Amino acid sequence: MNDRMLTMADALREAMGIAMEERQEVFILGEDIGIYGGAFGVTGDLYHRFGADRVLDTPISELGFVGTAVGAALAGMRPIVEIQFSDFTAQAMDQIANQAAKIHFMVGGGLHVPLVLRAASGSGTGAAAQHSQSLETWFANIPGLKVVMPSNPTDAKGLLLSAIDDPNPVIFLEHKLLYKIPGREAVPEGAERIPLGVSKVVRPGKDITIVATGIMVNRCFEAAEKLMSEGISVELIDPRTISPLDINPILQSVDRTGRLMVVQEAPEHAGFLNEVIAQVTTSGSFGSLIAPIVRLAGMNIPIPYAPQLERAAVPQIENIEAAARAAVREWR
Amino acid sequence: MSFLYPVVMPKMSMTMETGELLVFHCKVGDVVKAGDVLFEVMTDKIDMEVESPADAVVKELLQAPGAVVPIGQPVMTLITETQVMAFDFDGEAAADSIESIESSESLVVEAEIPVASESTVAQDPSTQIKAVPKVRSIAAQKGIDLSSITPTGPEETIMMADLGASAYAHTDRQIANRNLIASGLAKTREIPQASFERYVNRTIGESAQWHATLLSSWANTLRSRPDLLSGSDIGVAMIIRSKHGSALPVFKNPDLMPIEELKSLVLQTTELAMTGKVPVHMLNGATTTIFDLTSFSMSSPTPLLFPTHITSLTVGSSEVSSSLKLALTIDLRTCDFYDGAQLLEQLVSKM
Amino acid sequence: MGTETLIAGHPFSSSTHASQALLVMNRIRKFEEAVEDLFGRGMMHGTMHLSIGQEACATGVCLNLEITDQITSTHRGHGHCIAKGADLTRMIAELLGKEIGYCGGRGGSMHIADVATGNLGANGIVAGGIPIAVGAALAAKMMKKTNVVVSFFGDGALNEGAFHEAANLAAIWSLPVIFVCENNHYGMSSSTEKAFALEKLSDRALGYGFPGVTVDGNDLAAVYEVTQSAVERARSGQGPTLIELETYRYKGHSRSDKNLYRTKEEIDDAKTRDPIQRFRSKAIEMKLLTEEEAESIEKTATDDVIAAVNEAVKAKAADPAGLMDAVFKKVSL
Repeated sequence: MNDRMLTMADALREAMGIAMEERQEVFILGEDIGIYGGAFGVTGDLYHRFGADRVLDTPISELGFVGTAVGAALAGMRPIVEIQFSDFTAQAMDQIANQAAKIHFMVGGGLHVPLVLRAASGSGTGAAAQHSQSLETWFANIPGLKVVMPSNPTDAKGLLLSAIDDPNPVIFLEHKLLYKIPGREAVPEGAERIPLGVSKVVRPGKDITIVATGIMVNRCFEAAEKLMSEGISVELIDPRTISPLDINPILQSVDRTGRLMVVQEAPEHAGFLNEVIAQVTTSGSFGSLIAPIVRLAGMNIPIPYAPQLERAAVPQIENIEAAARAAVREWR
Repeated sequence: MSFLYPVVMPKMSMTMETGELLVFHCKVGDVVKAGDVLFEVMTDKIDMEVESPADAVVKELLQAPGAVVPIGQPVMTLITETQVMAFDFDGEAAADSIESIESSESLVVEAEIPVASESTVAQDPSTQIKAVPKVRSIAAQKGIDLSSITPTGPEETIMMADLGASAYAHTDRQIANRNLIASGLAKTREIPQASFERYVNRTIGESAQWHATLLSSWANTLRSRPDLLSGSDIGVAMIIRSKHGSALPVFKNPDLMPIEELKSLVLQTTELAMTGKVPVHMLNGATTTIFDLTSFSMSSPTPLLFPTHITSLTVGSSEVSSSLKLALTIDLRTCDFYDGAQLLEQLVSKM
Repeated sequence: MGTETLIAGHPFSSSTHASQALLVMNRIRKFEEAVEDLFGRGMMHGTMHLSIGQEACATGVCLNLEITDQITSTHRGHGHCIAKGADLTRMIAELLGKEIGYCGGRGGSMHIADVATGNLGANGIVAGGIPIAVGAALAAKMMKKTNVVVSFFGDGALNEGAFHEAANLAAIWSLPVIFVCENNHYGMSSSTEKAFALEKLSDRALGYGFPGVTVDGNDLAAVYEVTQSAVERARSGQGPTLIELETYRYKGHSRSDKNLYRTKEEIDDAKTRDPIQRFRSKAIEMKLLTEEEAESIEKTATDDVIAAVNEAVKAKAADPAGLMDAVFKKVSL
């Protein structure tokens, strides 16, 4: 087995280690990230490699330590904050939304906030409503924040390195279910960055364009394999950066295929992928559509606890297959 | 040193624009101390006492109780020895400072307008046609009438498959039109003909006016040679864009019409052509044809002669701006070389 | 008028220091009065939070700071800004929405920052600047710098969660931060008697394990001295201090205030304890300044503010054209 088939946790740890070696200003803070190695094992041995001076365990005070990170960033450091569950960003919202996002703009450019805020997101672990949300939409609608959702270990590593380089605040949302599994390809060694704000065509196709985020990218990939055997060719696009959104590959794809489906885990109502739909339909690509646009998203409910309920609350591979098949077969 | 200090109606809340003066607590000549209440003001939000900023003497009361005073306007004046931090700007400086406040145009992010569809949409929703965007887009381009298509998509929506081959072919009408013109001109090769070119210094003004001038001048030129004509009526056909390609409406005796009337006729005919409705009586009786290529910045060395027309004229752009290139083809069975040259000469002098 | 930082030192230590202190306090006072006038004329958008009566707090603290020391401030931050050496013209220009304003017209009164003088920004969120100050102190420690950070806030902020979390972090990590609470006894309308079950607000520090001390915020020398100890503590790595400065606010919370919750007697009584008058009298009594010198300083302060206003009013208004580019700092490759 190829030992570069890293899990997402491994890839993230590798990125942080590289960044911390490259620049002394990079440090990490969060709950249980030191000796414990992080609730999901992401920080791992970074505490042993870099010491308590650069890997800081904090008390349970998200508002306090996110704000501290903002202040440290203003004063010349490059903090990486780990929020144990993305749901807890709510505790720190003033420092994220009113401070970090806005300081550079409000003060007229003289200050900036090079902060990365990583958080474990998403459902499927039975952690129930307050520990399972997908919150990219909250942050995407706040000017001044960049929002990233990696779907695989290779992207996670390259994107995190770019996020740390970025002089602006970046919200980096990782899916819990992806931490412990490898991706479809080996993760490159070295320190190569993947730029923020660049969408990726994960799989080319001609019958329908599917845009998906986070873990849904992987489910759509599985669905696409199945559909291929039925003669349906799916073009799968992963925006990777939610905000700023690279829409051009998506528009070009829709011009070719004429069909669009968007898939996200977050609840459907007012969710982020509506932005993709809006940008497509308000552009010239509107005239390329030969079928109605399809939206697959989480139910508009808090994530439930029991496994069959939790599963039913968000799109699964079979839902994706069925929807894509219908769009292609019924609209010729 | 004494200062004259105007006590203005203060702005006391973010939204306040005027205040009502309720009552003065002083009169002219009173000696007041810093902090003494001078007058009371009422706004929709609050009642406020306005205090003296310094030790002073009341000089003048400028408003009366009950007056509604805009913010920033003086209500009364004081004489004081203290240099109170007060500013008196002329209208311009103050206006500039406020300008950025007043112009509260929000920045609207412009969305791109989607490709407009021209397909027929009935007012009554029950007969409204549903079609996917690309179908509408193609229908508009090709002039396909969507009401003639049977939808087989979900919810009676016309989808691409319903357009079939016609989506990619030209309309029958367009094809018929072209065939007509082409078959006519195929015979042109059999006519003995000669062509002449001439430059003229002339700029083109407004389109309809220009066409009217052209029509009129050319008809007038021809009329000076009755020996070349077969009757006293001169019909000038002019090629124009139409819904189905090109059309050749014929203007009868355009030089005998007042120029304004001719101009209206040109405009009217152009409009009719774009809807495919050139009147039948304008489709025959031509003695000559004009091709105006100036709008395409082109010129033609050899105007095409329609059979039964004795002459054919093109007007084109030349390499030299502010001049045009005229090219004339004549049917040698009715005109000879000298006639052709003379006709051009005459046309030039009329232009 | 350009930036001018203070020469650190006790205000009563020399004539130079006394002059400087009187000048700064007068500048703050005149500036706030000018803002009040301009706002009253409808020339300023939004609302203004004035600190008239609290000049000794800002001045006494900042007399202890070097240019490399940093501060965070509040919605009532004009005084802190000026005491740390801000350019008066650029401040007024910001309030008037001009391009040369500190924030290019994009921030307004509550968001003025002046990086050159170590001012990390005023803040429109109560207690918003407290964790930020702690973070700047953490950075100083990690980068092995010797600067300290002062976080200015009001009595209201002591009840915000952000204060508690940040104070705890400052304590457990022994950070070089000084928490300065200007207790003017009122939030917008609620008095500290009703919002706290404490006699002395500085006792809050005990809950986090570091010292807290209360002094008369209208006594410039007292403010200077208590800050001096706190700065020494911080710089020598002994961690944070909470300083409570008891003061008073003459005007309403902001310009929309009816002063209903205080009596006229209460306000008049406070005016007899005007910090500028107190310092002025004492300095003259100690023969550090003459009456003429004091008057001349007041005139200079007035002239400085008038000049700043006149310059700012003439400046070009901020242009919407640059807005989209102002959100993110460009990534340099």
